[in-house]
Amino acid sequence: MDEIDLQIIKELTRNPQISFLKIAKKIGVSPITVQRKHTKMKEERTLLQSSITIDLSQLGYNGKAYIMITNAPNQERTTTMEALRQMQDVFICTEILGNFDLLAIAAVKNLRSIICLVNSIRKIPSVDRVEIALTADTAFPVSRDFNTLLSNINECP
Amino acid sequence: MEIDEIDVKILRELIKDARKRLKDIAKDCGISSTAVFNRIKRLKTAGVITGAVQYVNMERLGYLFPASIGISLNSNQEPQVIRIIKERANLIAFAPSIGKSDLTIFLVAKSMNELDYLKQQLKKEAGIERITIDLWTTPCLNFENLNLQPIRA
Repeated sequence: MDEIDLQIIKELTRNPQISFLKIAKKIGVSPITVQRKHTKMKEERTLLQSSITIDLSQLGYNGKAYIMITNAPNQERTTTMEALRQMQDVFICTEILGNFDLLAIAAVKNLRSIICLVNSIRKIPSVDRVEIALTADTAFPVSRDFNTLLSNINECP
Repeated sequence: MEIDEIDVKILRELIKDARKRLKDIAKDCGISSTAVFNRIKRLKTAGVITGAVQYVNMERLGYLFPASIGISLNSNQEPQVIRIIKERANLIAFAPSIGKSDLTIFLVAKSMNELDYLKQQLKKEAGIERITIDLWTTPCLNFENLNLQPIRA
């Protein structure tokens, strides 16, 4: 990744919908260069998806659940991950190094849906225990301007 | 605000790819580009669409440790904690919660030292007793699982 790649990343994180033409003008390279580098960075998975952020409260959701999962002994975390990756309203999941084995973040509508969700996860054969924390924050996927974080990045490793 | 099936489809398309062209969305929805444009404008005005994010592989930029931090605190401690974590440039999000922890923070750190330092800072300056730090080893974004449904007014 060179300086131009980093500039492209910065422009995209500041405005994910900016055109390649505008990026090219801003950083002083040709649009073709921007397009080429963008394609390369996507292929290499340096650049991931771009996505809108939404407020879920107008779509019937009232908050999010952070679900902390402990796997049963001798069970693979990948088994649980596979199940979580297909679960309705669970939009982030990860294996965890810490006090438990996996974390899932889900959008929830009401008490019934929370109970339903926890029960679905408990039913996964590789799962042993489940704990949750609930938040009333309905920002999807996160509550802060993620772009600010990324725009502050100004160095390459 | 009323949100119909077409609005839901538009939202799903933009969640999948915020850079998708209006005319391609229009084709998928069976309406004109202008209609798509107006619907998006309406969704933005109503505060349903709040922005867009370009997701980047943070590891490539040296941020190797995405983590969530769960903090148990009382109301006296909250302002101190918020101040300490807001000072950090690599914070992704934080939200008050109920249940296992009272405040959940998501951030991405460059090193373990950084996480350890934050933990010590919170303990010393804000008197927090219970902090758990969990490293995310295999984060997966599965936004398409969000089961958006139309909302009748």
